[in-house]
Amino acid sequence: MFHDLLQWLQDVPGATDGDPTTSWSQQFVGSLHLWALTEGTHVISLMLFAGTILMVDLRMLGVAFKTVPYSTLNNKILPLTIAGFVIAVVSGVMLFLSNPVHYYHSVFFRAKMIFFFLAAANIFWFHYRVQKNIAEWDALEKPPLPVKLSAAISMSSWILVILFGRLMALSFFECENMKRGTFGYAFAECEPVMRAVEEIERQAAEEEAKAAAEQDAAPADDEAPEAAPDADSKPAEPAQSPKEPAPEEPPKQKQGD
Amino acid sequence: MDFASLFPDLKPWVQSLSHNGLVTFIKSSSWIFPSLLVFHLLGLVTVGGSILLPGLRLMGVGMTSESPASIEKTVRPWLWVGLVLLVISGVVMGMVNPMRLYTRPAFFVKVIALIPALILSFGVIRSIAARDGAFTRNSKIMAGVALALWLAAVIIFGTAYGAAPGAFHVICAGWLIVMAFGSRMTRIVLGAITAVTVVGVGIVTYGFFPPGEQYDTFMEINRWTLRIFAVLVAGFALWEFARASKTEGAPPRLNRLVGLLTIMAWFTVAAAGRWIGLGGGAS
Repeated sequence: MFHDLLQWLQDVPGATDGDPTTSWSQQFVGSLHLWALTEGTHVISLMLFAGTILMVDLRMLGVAFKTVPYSTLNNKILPLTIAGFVIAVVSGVMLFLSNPVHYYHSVFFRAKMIFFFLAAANIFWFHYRVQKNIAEWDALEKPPLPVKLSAAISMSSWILVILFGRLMALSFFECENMKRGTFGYAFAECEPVMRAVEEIERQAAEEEAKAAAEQDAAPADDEAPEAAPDADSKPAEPAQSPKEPAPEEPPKQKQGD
Repeated sequence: MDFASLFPDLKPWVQSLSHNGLVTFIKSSSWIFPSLLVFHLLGLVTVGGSILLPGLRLMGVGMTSESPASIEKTVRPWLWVGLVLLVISGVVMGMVNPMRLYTRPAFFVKVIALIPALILSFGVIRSIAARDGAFTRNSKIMAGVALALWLAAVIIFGTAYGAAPGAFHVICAGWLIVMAFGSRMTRIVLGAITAVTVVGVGIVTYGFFPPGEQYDTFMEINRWTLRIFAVLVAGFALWEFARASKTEGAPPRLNRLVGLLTIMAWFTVAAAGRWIGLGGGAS
């Protein structure tokens, strides 16, 4: 459902004469520094966003700032967290829109979003339920279990968001590297991607065959008819090609850039 | 400026760093290196929280109900946790591809910025926090050395081939701090200047020197805009945090400057670190 919308977003807005390579998405990816600066901002904003949330979570767990009332951190530190969150989300959305179809079908992006929404749900739970009786536990060194539980959910889900976010930059488990029928293939909804890849391969093969046929046709007339049926039989082949690359290749050492 | 051009004789040693069993083992697995990347990032996050809280407190913002000493003491173990994560993962990743670090200006900047960051967090802040905000002669000298080294790191950052765009993050960090904690007047003036600069330079560059046709002029205008803007932000920061404050209970100006400098130094380390991968270099 989203695949087509994102494909449109990637190809159409900003494109001149319907050429998808001139769309805003492609211009952004191809920009000399803008994409890298956005990516750097996304990563560095974690120091502000996740760094401060970590400190608040540690207080809620009763590990750090034990003598400081929770409300002090809530009032003085959480605004910084929100500022960092805004920077991270804005830069993150920009990065997503630079290559929307790829990220939409990325196993790691989907995993990241699951834990992102878990973290968000936890915030609502904490804000509207747990925080209601704040007066009872505000100054306690060891807050009650629901508070600790909320902090533990927050901390672990943000760590997983960061983990999957970092892995998104690596080429593991891309649709092209996964077998049909595996969990990852289904989880990332790879079918439309691979069908598009196969379509491109089929067209390329057809054109190649056509070119070969034309070339053959010039010197020797009787060879041309043989080339034509060959072109028709080609589409069967690419269907198997995605299975060729082993899912676990030797380390690619893309090193994040 | 990078380590390769400063210490060309070290090349054989740097090359030999990747010839050992550990690196072979890491390369034999497809998961170890990505794990190191993740641990490096989690270390960065932990350090981020651990330096922001005491830094901001010294500037007189954030958890002002607590003493700088108690905040510094609380975050100290977490600063260590973050640093251990960063250093172990960083050194091992560096061993996998040591020539990359050796030849890239961003890594040189990162190391130069790391020195003042460590001096400030472990030397200066610890000393003044323990003395209720009072500076000893030693802590003043350390702060001065840190300032000089940080300025050197930023200047190299902003002018080094391949790494220069990353200095944008340092300017952003300073801008955000001034906009978040500066006085109302400063926020309005700096905000207006920023808006006018972005729109004005955008019109001039895209209107008269489009990057497709006059790429060099386009880049030169952007470069000088950012340099002037950096000086401007630094000026506003000094005006806000280096003059005696009229606010009741505000920390002395030297303390505020040390808080600001600590945050800026750590963000410079992070920005330069990020640019090792993003920006190219001599190699």
